[in-house]
This record gives sequence, structure tokens and C-alpha cells, in this order.
Amino acid sequence: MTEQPRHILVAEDDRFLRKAAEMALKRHGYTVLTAADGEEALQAARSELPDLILLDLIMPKLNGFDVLQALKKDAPTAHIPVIILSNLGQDRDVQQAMDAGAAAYFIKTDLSLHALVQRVEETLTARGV
Amino acid sequence: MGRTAQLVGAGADRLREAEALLAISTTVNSTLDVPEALRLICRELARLLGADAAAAYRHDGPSDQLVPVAGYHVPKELLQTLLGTPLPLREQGFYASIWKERRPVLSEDVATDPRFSHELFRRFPHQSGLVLPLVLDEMVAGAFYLVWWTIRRQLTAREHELLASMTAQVTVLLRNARLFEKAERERRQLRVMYDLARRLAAVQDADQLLSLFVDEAAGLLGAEAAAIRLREGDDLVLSARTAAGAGITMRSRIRVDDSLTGRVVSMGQPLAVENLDEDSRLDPTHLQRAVAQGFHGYLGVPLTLDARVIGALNIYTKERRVFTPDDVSLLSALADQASAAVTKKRLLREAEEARAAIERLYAESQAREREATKLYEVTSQLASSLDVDRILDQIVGKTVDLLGSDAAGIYTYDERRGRLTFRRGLNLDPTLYRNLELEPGEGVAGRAYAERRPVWTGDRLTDPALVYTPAVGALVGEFAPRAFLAVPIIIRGEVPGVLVDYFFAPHDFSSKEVQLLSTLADHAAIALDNARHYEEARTQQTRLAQIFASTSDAFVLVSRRGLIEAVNGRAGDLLGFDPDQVIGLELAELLAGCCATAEYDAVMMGLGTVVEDPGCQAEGDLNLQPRKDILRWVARPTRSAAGETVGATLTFRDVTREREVSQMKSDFVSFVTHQLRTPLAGIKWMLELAAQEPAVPADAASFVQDARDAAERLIGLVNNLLDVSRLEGGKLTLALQDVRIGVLTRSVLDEMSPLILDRGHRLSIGGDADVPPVKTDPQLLRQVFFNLVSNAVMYTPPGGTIAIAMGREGQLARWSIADSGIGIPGASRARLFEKFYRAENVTAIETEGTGLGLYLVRLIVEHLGGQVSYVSEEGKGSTFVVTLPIAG
Repeated sequence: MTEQPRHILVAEDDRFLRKAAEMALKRHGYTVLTAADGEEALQAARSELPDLILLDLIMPKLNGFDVLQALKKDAPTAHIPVIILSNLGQDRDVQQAMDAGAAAYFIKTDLSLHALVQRVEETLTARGV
Repeated sequence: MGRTAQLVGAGADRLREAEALLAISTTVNSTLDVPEALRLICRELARLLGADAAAAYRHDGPSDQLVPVAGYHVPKELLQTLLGTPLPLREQGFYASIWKERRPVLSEDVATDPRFSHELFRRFPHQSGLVLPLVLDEMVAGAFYLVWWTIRRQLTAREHELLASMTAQVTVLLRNARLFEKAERERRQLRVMYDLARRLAAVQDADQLLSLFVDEAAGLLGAEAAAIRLREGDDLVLSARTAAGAGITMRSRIRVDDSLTGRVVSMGQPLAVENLDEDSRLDPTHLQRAVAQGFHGYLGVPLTLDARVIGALNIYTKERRVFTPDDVSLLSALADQASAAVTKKRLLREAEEARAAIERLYAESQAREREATKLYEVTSQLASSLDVDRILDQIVGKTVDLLGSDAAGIYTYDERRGRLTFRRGLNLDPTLYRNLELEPGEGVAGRAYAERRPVWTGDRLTDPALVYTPAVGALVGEFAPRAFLAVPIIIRGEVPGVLVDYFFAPHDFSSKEVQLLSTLADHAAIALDNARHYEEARTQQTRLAQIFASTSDAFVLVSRRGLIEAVNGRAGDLLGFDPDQVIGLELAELLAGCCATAEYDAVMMGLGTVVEDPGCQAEGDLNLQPRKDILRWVARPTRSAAGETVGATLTFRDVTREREVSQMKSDFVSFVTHQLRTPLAGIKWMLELAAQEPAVPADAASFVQDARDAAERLIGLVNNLLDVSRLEGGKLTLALQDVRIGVLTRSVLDEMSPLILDRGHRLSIGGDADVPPVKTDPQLLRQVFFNLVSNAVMYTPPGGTIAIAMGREGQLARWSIADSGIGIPGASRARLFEKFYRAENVTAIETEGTGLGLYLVRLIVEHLGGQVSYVSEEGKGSTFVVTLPIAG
């Protein structure tokens, strides 16, 4: 069995969302790292080098845009696909994130956990092969 | 002769003198028969002065001759000669000296005296002669002539005295006689004229009046025929004649200067002919006729008026006749009367004509006034003539003029007080009427008001029907007028006032007066009504002008040609100009400097649109350049009263603050909804996890499912709110692409297919091949299609039909969706696209809605430059149509 990249970092300041995402991913066989603010997320990403990062945009200490920018600037983390999960749905937000190198952009309420896991798998498949 | 004899002689002389004087005096005082008196005096003079013969003469004015009236001791064979020989005055000879010197002239030798050259003196030769003139009022009124056949007579001083005394006495006689005669003549004439005047007064018809004159003239002067001719230019037209006159005055028209009557007129003098046979002035045929009829005498006098000869009155007598001055005088007096009658006739006719003309003018002016009432615009321009008090004064003035009354006045009805107030008066004491107010039904005017008909009193002092309240009674008691005539001024069933005509003496009002005053009241009614209309219009105009000036919106009135016709002060404030300086300028010029070209173009296009198509209005925003103000403008057509589009109204509203508030609101909504999304996502995800738990009891699982549905709806609501806030805030930037609306539609249907299948609807789609790609924002359009399809699915009972059709209409792409759903009730249609509005019948079907779906559809479609509309019948279904410009 080919070892699938199953290491996901969930960066989300809201603990319920963090918990729900973690649960859903774990049920599908992923290992999950969590971060509750931007700094934590950046540290975890750099130290653990996860296979994929779910990144919230509005977070304490360091916001999602800054984290994304920092990850993409650093060679070890630049290749890690980042899916943005945000409350912001405006075009310019989406545009900004995509320009900064995000793999996908979703509004949290528009996405079911089921769909979230699907998007994660699709992204990993696209990257991993 | 002895002394005694001398004394006796002297005494006898004195006695004779005394007797003569007494006789003369007695004669003078006892008789007015002048010829007889002159004969007596003549005798007494002859006796007194021892003359052999004497004659008395009387002056005849018209011929200016001394006419012999009596002789004394004139030999019989000479008497006839004497009496038949009048002595001309003012000729050479002694007459001239009589005339000039007016004192006795004595000649001792008549035969050789050049003063006595008249042939009469040669016919009875005598030695001495004495002429004794009688002078009255410095005129020679008569004379005595005394003759001494043989002796050379001289007068003593005493005799001169005696003569002076006698002539003075005789002068008195003559004066009395003349006065008496004159009085008698005048009395007779007056009597005649009085009778005539009385008869004439009864005659109304002027022609009949003249006929009466000729009859009177013939009768009074004992003539057989009479006629009146009146002058018309150079002709004399026969206007009346006696029955017998028919034979001689046959020509209805003769020329002035023609024949006898023509001469009377041309000379302006009476003309008398004793015998027509001997007069060459008469027209030959006329003469022939006159003679054939047996007429001989003729007298004609001119009819004069204001020193102008207007015709002639003439009479004919069958006998030859010497017309006396009295005859001439009488006929002249008749002629004067006839002139007056002719004048009266003319004046009457003129008065009638004038009255008719005035009434005609009234009728015309009434017609004009009515026209004016209709022509409201014309009326409002007649500012000066619409002053009520001026009109009322004119009416009051006309009333006095036309009715010949002493005074007139107008009451107007004061609705607020419910009383008639005396408004304007003429020839009345203002201190009395200033506070005069009547209750309806009070007095004459009050009754005319209450009963709506003319009411009058011939004399207020004796009229028991007049009732006043004590206060008014006291005022009226001091009023000069005794007789009142009041007519109501009625217009369109209302009585705005009462017109009153006054006489200061008791007066019986005729139906003509009532009619005339009613006519004036009609005139007043229309004038008052016009004035009222005008006042109303002016009040309204003033009010509009105030509104126009004080409103917080800016107005600019533009003509069809784009010239500024009016602006209010607010427009000047907002657009930064002096309102007084821009009238007549081009709007384009004014706007060019203060906003961006695109916005300026939009305004000008909008104006062009509304002027050409009065059904629509145009609107837009204007971002003022130097300042940051935002003005919302709306252009609407302005129409004339006839409905023609004459220009446009441009309204500007300062929406800067409004937009700021709106932005803040939008930002707030955006913030709140973003904040809501985190917990909503938490709920959604947790419930999803819960639903996946295998050990959950069935009840709990269904609760979880309900909670998930509720969470989804809440999420949908938040999403819609965000969209609305973004669209309303204008923060949405369009991402235009070539979009195939068929593809987009199928994508929406794919997404919704589980729901459509679940409801069991039959779905059809067609026509998309005909539509070229549309340049538009796919995300926004998708939401439009989504909302419309979603509505069709939700509001159509299970098993319904939904048909989507696409097509091209010129430069528009047309997308429609028809369902067999519950439809939209009529009452809801107008508000269907409003925010948070849900149709009245949505509860008939078990579905949820936010009231934002169609509102968003409209916002988006309009944002994309398209339009959305629908047709629907409640219970049968609805069809929504979206049109979009293909070019984007």
C-alpha cells in the first residue's frame, strides 16, 4: 500500500470548528495537527511540514494572508498546498489569497465536512501524484 | 284889449291848456287802444296850438315807416291820401331829422323848407308845419304832424314846455300800450304753447309729433295748410304736412335755396308773401299748383337748433294776407317748439340707440368674460383688471350712470361670518356704510340674497315689509336713500354678493330698471368670479412658488431646447451657482464644469429621453467634482395644460449623507454577517458529525436533521444579506465574461436536480442555441437563475411543470421560466420585487423564504443592465422574464 500523505494542519481560531474539522479528517484516516492562531500555525507548519494546511484568514496574532505569504516564501513550506477556509467571501479576498498561492478558497458555511474532506483528498491526489 | 280882457284872455288860455292836458292825461290813463288815443291826443294838440289840421303816426318796426293812424280836421278829399301814405324814416328830409334829433321840428314855410321835401307835403300845400316825435326808449315810436294852412306859426317857450309835457304823457301811454300788447301777445303765445306742449307730451311717436305741429300751426294762424321740411344734407325732406297741404307740397324732397321754403332755410330768416301770384321766387310748377288750389298767402320760418338751421315750418293761406309781426312771432315760437321736438326725437332715438349699444356691449363683454373664465391662463395674466374692488367700483359707477339713480352699492357675502358686508358704494356716506352688515333675509339686500331674486322698496319709510335688526336699523335710518332696488349677483348657483341701486327720494322702480340692474349684476357676477379664480390661481401660484423656493430638493426647469427656465434657491446651493444668473442659459453649460463627462452625458441623455418619451423618467447620480457631494437626479417631463411636453424638470437631491449612512449600514451588515458565519459553520459541522454517529436514536437523528435544515436556511439568509448589502453598497465589481446562458442554466439545474426530482416536477428547457454568448458576470447571473428556478420549484405544488425558454430579441437575450405554481395575487404584484416582501399567498405552500430572493434578482439584473418582469395568474402559475443586453 502506497503511503498516502495524510498529515493535515488545521489552523483555526474557533475551537468548535477546529474540533469538527479534526474529527472529520481523523474519521477518514488523516492525522491532524491543530493551531489556534497565526503564529502557532506558522510554527507547526515549519516544524511538522504537513501534507496540507487548512487555513483560516482571520486569526489572532498573525492573519491567514500573512501566514500564507510566509509559507510560500520559505522553500520547505512553499510546496505545501493551502486550502483557505474563511468567512470572507468578497472577490478581492479570494483574489488576494489565490494570488498568494492558495490551492483553493472556500467559505466555511458553504462547505459541509463531507465536502471538505473530499476537497482535501482531491487536492492531495492532485499534488501527490 | 283892456286889462280885464287880457286877464280873461290869459285865463281862458290857461283854462284851455288845462283842459287839453286833462283830456290827454285822461286819455292816456283810460285807454290802451293806441290809435284811438293818438286820435284824441292829436285833436287836443291841434286845439291847444290852434292848428288847422293834424295827423297821428305810429312807427312800424318791420317796415321802419311812420304809418298814419288818425287825422284831425283833414279835408275829406285829402284824408284818403294822408292815411294811405306812410312816411319812410331814415330817408332824406325831415323824417331824418326826426329820427336823428328826436325833438319837435317846426317850419314857418313848408314849401321852401328842404326838410319837408316829401311829395305828400306838395299834395296839400300849407304855410307852417310842426312835427312832434314820440320817443320811447330812444326809439321813435310815433309822431304828430300839425298844419297851419296860412299863418306863419312860431312857438313860445311856454308852448315848448307844454309840448314836452304832452309828449312825455303820450310816451307813457305808448309804453303802457306796448307792454300790455307784449304781455298780451306773450300770454296768448304761452297759452298756445302750453296747450301745445300738453298735447305734445302725450305724443310718443316723433312723426306724429310733427304732424301735430303742422296742424297746430295751421289752426293757430288761421291758415289752410302747413308743412315741415327737415334738412338732410343739401336736401329738405318733407316731414309733416296738414291734410290740405297735400295739394301744394307734393315734392318730398327739395333743394336748400330752392323755392320759398328753400330760401327760408338758406337765409335762416322768416319769409312772408302776401300774394303768391306776384312773387317770382316761388318755383313755377309749385306756383301753378298753389294758384290752382287757390292759395295766395305764404309764411315760412326756419327751424333752428343751436344757431343751425335744421329745416322750415311754413303755412299757406287761401286769402291774400299781410302777415303781422305777431304772426311771424307765433309761427317762430311754434318752429322753436318743433325744433325742440325734432331734437327730442333725435335725442330719444340716440338715447335708445346708446342704451341698445350699451346692452349689446354688455352681452358681448359677458361672452368675453365667460370665455375668460374658461381660459384660465389668459385670466391669470389680466392682473390689473382683476382687482375686485376696482371691478366693483366700475359696476357701481355704471349702475348710477345707466339707471340714472342717486347712488349705488355692492354687498359681498362673507362666508366666514355668514353675513352680507357692504363692500363698495358710490354717492353714499362712507361713515354710515363702513360697518354695515346684513343677515341673509334682512332688509332689501338681505332678502334679495336669501330669495335669490330682485327685491325693492319704493320708500323705506313707509314699507312695512322692511325689517332690520336694531343696530342696522339705526344705520339705515341715517341713510340718505329712500328707495332701494337690490338684485342678487348669482354665479353657478352661488350668491357672492348683492348689487343695490338707490334713490334719495321715493321712487317706483320699473321693470326696465330691474332688468337693467340684473344685467349689471350678471356682469358683476362674472367679473367677481373671474377675480376669485384669479385670486385662487395667484394664491396657488404663490404657494407653489414658496414650495418651489423652500423645498430641500433642487429644481431646474428646462425647456425642450435645453435652456434653463427656472431654478430654485436650493439648486443654486447644490450646484454652486447664482439662481438669478442662470435663467436662459443652457443646462449643458452649467453642468459641464461640475461633474464627470460620463455623468454629464447621462443627465443630458436622460433629459432627451423624457422629452421624447413623456412616459418615462430618467435618474442617476452626479458626483460633484470639486466637492465630494453626491447628487441624485431625476428627470421628468413637464407638460402644458394641453398635455404637450414642453420641457423637463430636473430634480437634484443631496444624497451624500444618505450614501454615507448606507455605507455604514452596509459595512455593519457585512461585519455582522461575517461574524455570524463562524458559529454557523460550527453548528453546521457539529450537526453533520452528530448525524454520522451510528448509535443515535431515530428521534434524535430526525431532530439533528431538522437542526441541519434550519442551519442551512440561516446560512442562506446570511449569504443573501451579504449579497444585498454588497449590491446596495455598490461595492460589487463586475467580472464580465462571455457567458452562454444555456450552459449556466444547466449548471444551476444540475445543482438543483435532487430537489426537482424530489418534488416530481416535469422540466423542459429550450431555445438556448439561438442565443449568442452574453457579456455578463456569471456568478451574479447564476444567482439570478438560481433564485428564479428555486422559486419555481418551491412555489409549484409537486408534479408541476417548469419550462425554461431562451431566445434573442434584437440586442437582448431573453430568459424566461414558466411554472404551474400558486401564482402571485394581484395585490402583491406591485411590491413583489421589494426587499423582505413575500406575497400574500406564500403560506399556502409549505416553504420557507427570506423575502430577499426576488429583491436580489432585481438588484442583480439591473446591475447587469437588464430588466426583469413577470406575468402571473393566481392559482395557475407565473412566468418570470429576464432580459440582458448581449453586448454587456
